[in-house]
Amino acid sequence: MISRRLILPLLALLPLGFGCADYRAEFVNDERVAQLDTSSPVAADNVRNSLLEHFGTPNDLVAWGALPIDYGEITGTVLSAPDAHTLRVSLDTDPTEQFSQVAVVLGDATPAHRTAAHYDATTHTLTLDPLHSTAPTAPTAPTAPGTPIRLIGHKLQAGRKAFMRHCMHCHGVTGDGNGPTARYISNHRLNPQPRDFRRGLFKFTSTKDGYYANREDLRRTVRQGLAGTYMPSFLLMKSKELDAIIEYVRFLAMRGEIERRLLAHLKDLLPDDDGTPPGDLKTLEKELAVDGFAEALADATALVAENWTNAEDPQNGVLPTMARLPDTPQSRLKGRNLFISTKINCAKCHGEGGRGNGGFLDDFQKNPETQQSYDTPGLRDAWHNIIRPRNLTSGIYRGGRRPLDVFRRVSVGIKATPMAGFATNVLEEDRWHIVNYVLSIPVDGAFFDEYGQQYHGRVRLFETHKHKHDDHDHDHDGHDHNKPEPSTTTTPSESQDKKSQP
Amino acid sequence: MTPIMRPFHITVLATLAVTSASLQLGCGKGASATPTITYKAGGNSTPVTDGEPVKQIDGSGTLNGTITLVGTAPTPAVIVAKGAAKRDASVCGAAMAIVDESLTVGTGNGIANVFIYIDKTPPGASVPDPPTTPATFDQKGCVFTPHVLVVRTNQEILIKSQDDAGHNTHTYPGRSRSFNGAIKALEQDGVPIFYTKHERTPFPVKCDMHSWMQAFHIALDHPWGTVTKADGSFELNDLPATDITLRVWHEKAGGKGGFLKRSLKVTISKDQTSTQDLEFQLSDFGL
Repeated sequence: MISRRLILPLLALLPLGFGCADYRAEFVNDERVAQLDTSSPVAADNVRNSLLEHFGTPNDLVAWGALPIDYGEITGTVLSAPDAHTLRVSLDTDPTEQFSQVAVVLGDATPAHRTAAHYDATTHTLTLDPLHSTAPTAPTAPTAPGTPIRLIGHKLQAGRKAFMRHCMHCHGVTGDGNGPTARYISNHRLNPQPRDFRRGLFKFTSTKDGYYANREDLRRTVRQGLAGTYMPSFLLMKSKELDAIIEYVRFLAMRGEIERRLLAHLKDLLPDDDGTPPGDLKTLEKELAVDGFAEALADATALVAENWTNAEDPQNGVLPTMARLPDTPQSRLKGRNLFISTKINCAKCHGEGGRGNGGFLDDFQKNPETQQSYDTPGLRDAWHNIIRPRNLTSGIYRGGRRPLDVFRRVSVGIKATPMAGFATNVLEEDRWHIVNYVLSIPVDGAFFDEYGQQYHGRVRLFETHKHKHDDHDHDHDGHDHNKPEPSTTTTPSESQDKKSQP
Repeated sequence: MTPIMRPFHITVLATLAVTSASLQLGCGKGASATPTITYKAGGNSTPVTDGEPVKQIDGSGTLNGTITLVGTAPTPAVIVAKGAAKRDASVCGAAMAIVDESLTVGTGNGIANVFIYIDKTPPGASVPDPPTTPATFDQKGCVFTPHVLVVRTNQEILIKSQDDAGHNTHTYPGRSRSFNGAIKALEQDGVPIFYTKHERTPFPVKCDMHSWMQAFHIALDHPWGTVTKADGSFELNDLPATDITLRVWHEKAGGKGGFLKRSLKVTISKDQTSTQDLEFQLSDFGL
């Protein structure tokens, strides 16, 4: 009887048996850093140390001025300094409540770096943490009145807090898409993995081909969520908290990208697949990990900063120069004909019926990093995950369902995926026809199957030829006469469909 | 409270106690409520120079040679037999079979499509402007042509197509912006693209619509790079007359793309032609 009574308490001991690695507030390094450790510990240490130096840890973050991140900065002047750790200050903007542990930079020429412990808004008194100081000797002398002061990092701090609360579960502490919940998502084969920020790539952007996501794109994704995926909408989040999260996501993305670029620089030092270190290890180590490391870090930083800065430039955004064309049956038909045309090949991935089942999915793609074929067929994204072309009959569009969103997807594609931009070969006017057609597909009765025959619900309609002459404005240019004539959506078949609706 | 209930209560209490204890013990270092922020100024990115002016290199020379394979070249695999394409059959492999171009060995066992280039411009070398004529990157029968392409940074590349089928060109550069744009059937004007940054190694260019289509590009901020011809021969002209370090890169080196020779040190003399013939084994290509 006693043993039975102990079953539940013993069960409660079970959590002790599991690791808690997922919940540690640590930035996890790319697995190749550990591989590098086996061949060149010097190189591995350099990567680890430079990431620690420039980004810190989740509990001790570094706001690095070389990156285009808004860490949250308040400037002002020191009015008086009663002692070495107390300042009366005049600040340009009032800090929020609970203002503490942000970086304090005093002076211009040779700034002293301190940490704020507390700010009293009524007396304008800033208390400095006596323990945190980057000055070579412990600060004893009070700061001279008139010294410029910068309080840096309240936004980064708020971003980290909110990210840990709302995002970390899926995206992981490091932003590597490997949070504690990610494993449950990975069981669902057809759902995308939580985004691994470390490539700096985000799929749905309003920027031109080759450009990164801007802040507004990230904000839209967090606010709206990604329809049809596990990414929920955070529409109720206060805009201040949202902005802080966006900056923190960019911070993690830049950290990951710099790590990635450093590892690309050190690639030749990595051991072979069977663990053999490179032959001329010592020479390579000197060239790459010792002499060339600082330059590689500067180069990676400059490239990352440039990419994220360019994304914010309005010139690199995609906006139509003409208004959406009226969504007429003729426009949809033009779009349909472009969609199935082998000259631009939408249907080869999305299927003639738009169900995301085109023939290209049977092909084995090559991994662009190793030149080897993947061992299963299917399209891949930059993270090597199998991805499906959107099923356009579902009416769910991950990048947004506004006509403008679909126009952008058609024009510049989806970043980090095989979905190409069609601005290079389809006129803007024709892209609007495609948008009108694509948005009409989920409307009952408006889409066509692989044989060009019209569907409504599960019943195929065989009356498409009958209504051919009803459409006097039909533009037959480029029409494929070998296929059954697709009808347009204003034919009586549509009203017929509606009758069959419950 | 009935005596029957009591053991149950003890169990519940014990469970709660052990659960809370295990939660506190089990997970150590969590996130602090408020992270501490340290500021680090963005460093001055201009490199430190000792102030001594770099001496201009006087004159130029030529380097040529042949890169050959030792042993029997493997027969390239047929990817799409003539007329047997599953899709776009009237275009892809219609005129001739599509073969694997990843290791192309020509007459005299010369290895084609090997990149030979200088990575870093030698100090004191004068770099001419990039050519104003665009390079052409074409596709025919669902094969990229050329298979390997060396361009200058900011030199225009026109992507064309002789195929009556849609293609896309998807580039994977290391430092420049990537490009993924659809190319329409029989595109003759050419879709212009640029690589704005110097690349350290060649990178793949793919067509996602035809999974076998692959080529390699490199963009250099100087003119001293080339690829071997079908017979494995190469020639680099107007090289600065100094000690130079060349990279020799092939898409199948080590089986997955890389350097056949990471640092090939050559001395170039003014108005002289030097010759560098290189030999590689099948094992150098992961075979």
